[in-house]
Amino acid sequence: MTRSAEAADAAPVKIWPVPMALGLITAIGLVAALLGDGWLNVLSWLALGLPLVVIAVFSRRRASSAP
Amino acid sequence: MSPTSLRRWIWVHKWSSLVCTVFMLLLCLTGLPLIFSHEIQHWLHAEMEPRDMPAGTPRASMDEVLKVAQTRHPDLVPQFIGAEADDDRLWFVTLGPTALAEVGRHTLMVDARSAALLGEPNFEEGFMHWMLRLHVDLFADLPGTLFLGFMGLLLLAAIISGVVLYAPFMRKLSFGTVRHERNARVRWLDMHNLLGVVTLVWVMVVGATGVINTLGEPLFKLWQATEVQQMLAPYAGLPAPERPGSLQQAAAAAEALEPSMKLSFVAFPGTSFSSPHHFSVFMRGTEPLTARLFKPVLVDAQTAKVTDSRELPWYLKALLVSQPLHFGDYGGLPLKILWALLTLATIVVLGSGLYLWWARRRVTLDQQVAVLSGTAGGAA
Repeated sequence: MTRSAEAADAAPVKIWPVPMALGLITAIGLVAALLGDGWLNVLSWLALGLPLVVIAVFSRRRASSAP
Repeated sequence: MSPTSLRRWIWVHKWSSLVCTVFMLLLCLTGLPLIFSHEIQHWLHAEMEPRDMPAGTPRASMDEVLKVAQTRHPDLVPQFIGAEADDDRLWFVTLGPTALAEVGRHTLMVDARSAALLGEPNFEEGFMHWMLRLHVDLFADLPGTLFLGFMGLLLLAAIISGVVLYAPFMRKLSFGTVRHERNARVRWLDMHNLLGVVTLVWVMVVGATGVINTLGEPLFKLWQATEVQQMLAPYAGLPAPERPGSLQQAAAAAEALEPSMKLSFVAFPGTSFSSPHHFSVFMRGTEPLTARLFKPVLVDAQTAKVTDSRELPWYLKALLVSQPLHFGDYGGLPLKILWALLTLATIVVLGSGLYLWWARRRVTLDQQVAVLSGTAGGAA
């Protein structure tokens, strides 16, 4: 198993891009509604709704092939 | 990551979570109704809603409003009068047995146009009061609040260690993988990781602003002991006026000083937010960011002249700006609903974390480290 673990280290799954993007979008959503009303509120609803959509989609999704 | 540091992070994540989880579950559950506190109070006191009147209906003098409240409770003294940010049709007048009393208070709702008494909602009992006290101080006043603040710090430690551990857990899995075909423990581990990382920034912000809020009372005391004392220095040693002058004139003086701001509330002479010589008029901005950023205007209670007015110090500004980010009340009802849904997701993260600890309580730290650092077979 040590060998396969090394192989996994050599070609790692890209762990951080998606969480970082979601974090950034959440932060934008949190700040947007603070800065004003109107379209900034709508932006904030969309941005903060995204994590919930991601949860809804991924928590039900069955892997197409076992990892 | 080296096995040693992995071991440390696992330890931090386990114990910081275990200690704070029960309290965080309580804060999530009590926080859910509190998100909608405004709506619930309106619904509970629907019969006290002010009537709609044509725009531009002249407003009653605040002195008259106060007289109506005092006639209802002649044995009590006024402490505060204020309006909600989104509704200037009515005043909330708070009276107490003494100016400083924190128990035995009564709050009256008075129509701001007709000065008619609308009702006397009781904010000191009932379901919402229970939720608020459990959420804010566990019925234990300042020590309870500070205790919850410490639990919030542990939550932040749990989140940070959770982020660090996310990487070794996800080494062989693509984002959002939930291994439904595996046993319950693996499935819930995947759900814990998915929900945890997706809600990460929101939980961090609500947690951190919650911790900041627990320092509210000490920070206000600090401000009163320092800057407010400087502002009151000219009055040191003077006898307090027997009868304060006109509230309406004091409010008008503050509004004239800050014409672009709106009156939020007035603290009567002798209360904890003013001095024996002053009305403290708290003005606020009109944008979502500034709506809670008070500017106190000290008005001499006898002459109705402005004594002093200063910007709040940075630590109180930080406190006041952090409040909407904790309450989620700055972007309409949809934002509140999102706040509630994100709270529910957080409850799943907390609950699954607790389950995972219980399900793996017999797995030693060494075994966990071995699995995560890839020196043993099988997935975590």
